[in-house]
Amino acid sequence: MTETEKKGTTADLLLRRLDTELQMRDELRRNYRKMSRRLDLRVVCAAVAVAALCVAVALALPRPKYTTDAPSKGQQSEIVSRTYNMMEQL
Amino acid sequence: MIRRWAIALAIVAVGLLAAAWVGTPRTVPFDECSTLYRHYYGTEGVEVAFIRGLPIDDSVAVDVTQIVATDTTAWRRLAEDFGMPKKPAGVTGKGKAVAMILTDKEQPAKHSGLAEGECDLTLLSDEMRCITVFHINNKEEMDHILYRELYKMQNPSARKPLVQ
Repeated sequence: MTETEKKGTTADLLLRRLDTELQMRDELRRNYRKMSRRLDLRVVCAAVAVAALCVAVALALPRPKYTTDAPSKGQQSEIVSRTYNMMEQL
Repeated sequence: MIRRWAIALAIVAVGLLAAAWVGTPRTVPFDECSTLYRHYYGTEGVEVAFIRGLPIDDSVAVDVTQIVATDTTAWRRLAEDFGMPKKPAGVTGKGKAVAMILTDKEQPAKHSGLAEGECDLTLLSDEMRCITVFHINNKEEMDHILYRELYKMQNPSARKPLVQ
């Protein structure tokens, strides 16, 4: 094998190795993107779950309803405190 | 990048839901209010309110109708309607005591011979010119109202204020 042929073979080998390396890099990048998308989805799901939980807790809290007149917050608390006051005087 | 948007959107959504919940008036339609409320609604010299699910303590909540007289004439009329017990002779002044009577659900002036679940617990305060009617459904609810202070002593965690 001549010197030129030897060099050609080495260059060919190097090129093939470079090609393999590039393919591996692309594969890794694809995997990273896929994982990143999955993580995004998980974050969205977690945020939605937390939001739903907050709403459920808020709805489950005992909160009295008032009459059609819908008195203001001040009037409402006056009515409620008057009621408790009368109960305490029993 | 997408993640940031998603989190921001989720936070905004939670904020909007919370605002909607707080901002929505929780009112009882007129037809669903108590008979008493509907009876006294719009009466001159009388302010009437109905509360659905007023928390008595951690475990019991009852519907309440409250009638307040704004003048003496209206109060006298109310006291008559509810058959308020008269003060013993010789007792003067308004006094702080609250009178308690069991009243018929349909006819508040009717007091005696009432079975459990058929009567309301009514508190009358001459000083406040106020009548508070607890719409009772069972004995347990009545016990919780009558012995509220006792229940609180038994369960110290219930001492937190119930008024929101």
